[in-house]
Amino acid sequence: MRKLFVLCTFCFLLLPSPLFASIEIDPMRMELQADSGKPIAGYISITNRGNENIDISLSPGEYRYMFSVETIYPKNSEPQTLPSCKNWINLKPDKVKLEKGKTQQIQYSINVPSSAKNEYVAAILIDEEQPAAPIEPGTAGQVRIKITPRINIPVYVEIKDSLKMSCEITNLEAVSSKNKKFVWFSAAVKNSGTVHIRPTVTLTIIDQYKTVVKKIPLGKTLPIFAGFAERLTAEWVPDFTGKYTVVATADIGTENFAQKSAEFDVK
Amino acid sequence: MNNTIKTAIIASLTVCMLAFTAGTCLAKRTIIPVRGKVNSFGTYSFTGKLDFDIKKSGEQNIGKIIVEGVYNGEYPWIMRVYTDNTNYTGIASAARPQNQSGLISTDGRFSIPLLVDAPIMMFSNYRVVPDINQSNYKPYIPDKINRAMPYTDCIIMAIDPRNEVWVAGENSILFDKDDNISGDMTSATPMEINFKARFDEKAVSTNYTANLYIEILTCP
Repeated sequence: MRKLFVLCTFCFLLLPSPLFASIEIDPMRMELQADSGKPIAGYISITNRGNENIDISLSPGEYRYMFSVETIYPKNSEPQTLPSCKNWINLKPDKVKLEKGKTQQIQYSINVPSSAKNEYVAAILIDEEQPAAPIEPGTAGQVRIKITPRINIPVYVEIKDSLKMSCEITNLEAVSSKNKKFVWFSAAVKNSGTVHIRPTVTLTIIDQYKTVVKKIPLGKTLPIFAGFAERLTAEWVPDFTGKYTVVATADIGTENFAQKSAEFDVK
Repeated sequence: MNNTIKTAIIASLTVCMLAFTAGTCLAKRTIIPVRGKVNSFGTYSFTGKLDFDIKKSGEQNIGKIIVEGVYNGEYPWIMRVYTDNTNYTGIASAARPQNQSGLISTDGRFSIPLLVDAPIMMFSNYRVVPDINQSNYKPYIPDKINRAMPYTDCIIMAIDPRNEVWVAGENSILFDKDDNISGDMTSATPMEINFKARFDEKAVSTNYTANLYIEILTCP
């Protein structure tokens, strides 16, 4: 039995299955402010939580979008790119052999040109490098795939000289359904500043006696870039008929917030 | 030397040491204003290899990757798979549209679509792995019920409460007991991702490579 166990273990060890170990990255997002013409720098720490030594490479990349279907693009056209700062980013070192359990500090520096204004985005791509098996010469029909696990860190660089955070609610609709079972709300929050915002939006419903009957938190949005807007929707089931007012509040955390109201009837 | 002088010397030495330490720390670290910070709480690991020898034509399994672990980062996030085949050249003046996704012949001229299957794909089964450089590549945006999937991204796992199809659950109806409120499309691990490709008779005459990325696209 013991011999069988040893044999099985030996056979298992001989299996050529590379292990891509776990890594932890801190921070997972960089929202930086910079003066135009002045470089900024800092550190990213990477920890190998796996049980094998690993090779890691880092490179700047383009920002990875995660827009929603409710994103309203500037001038109603879907832009493929936001202003990029990919070429401003330097990483030192950009290749690391990381022993298990160890942490490595990676220095990043971002060379902001003097002409920069408003906001730029990019990503830092962190790859666990694992070479593919080589193709043996003289034999056809071989398929060799290099597998690379990748994590990205989004990077936002805001230029201080032109930094303005503001938003407005451009549209607020309240539509009572025909069968009167619910009211549908839609609020469009537009970024009227120069850098991205993450507003927290709330709907407050007030009845004809000025009593707050419901507060509907719509949560914190993903980044809304300058000139972009995001449409947020909610539904509410009223208990009573009557005249109501809905107030949408978008708070961007800068002690100023945007509000808009609309009236509606529940018959 | 009396006690007062001793105390003064020790105090001045301490101040010098603190000043030196602070100076070196400040020299090493640049303080920058950061508006937000997110820590990671873990990630996935991937075991397996995709090495395959074409013995015959037809659709064949190439191999599998086993995913283990958990990623507890802020959501929405997605794990997607794509190729980044920078070695693809294609055929000059080819009549048919060319695509750099999948497996690329070692001379860079030909490609074979690579298919992937993961538990999230459920009924749709194997999907084509896109190449991030292909002209019609469209990154993920959340699905809406009754609308065709508007992206070419190939999702392996994800959490996105904005995705109506995921939130609606198996019966595809929103606002019922079946709802998956956070749009959690992660799978229990260990989990298999399987790959296959269809090889024609000519495929055996050359070799193929691909640069395959499994990317966790973190919350922006």
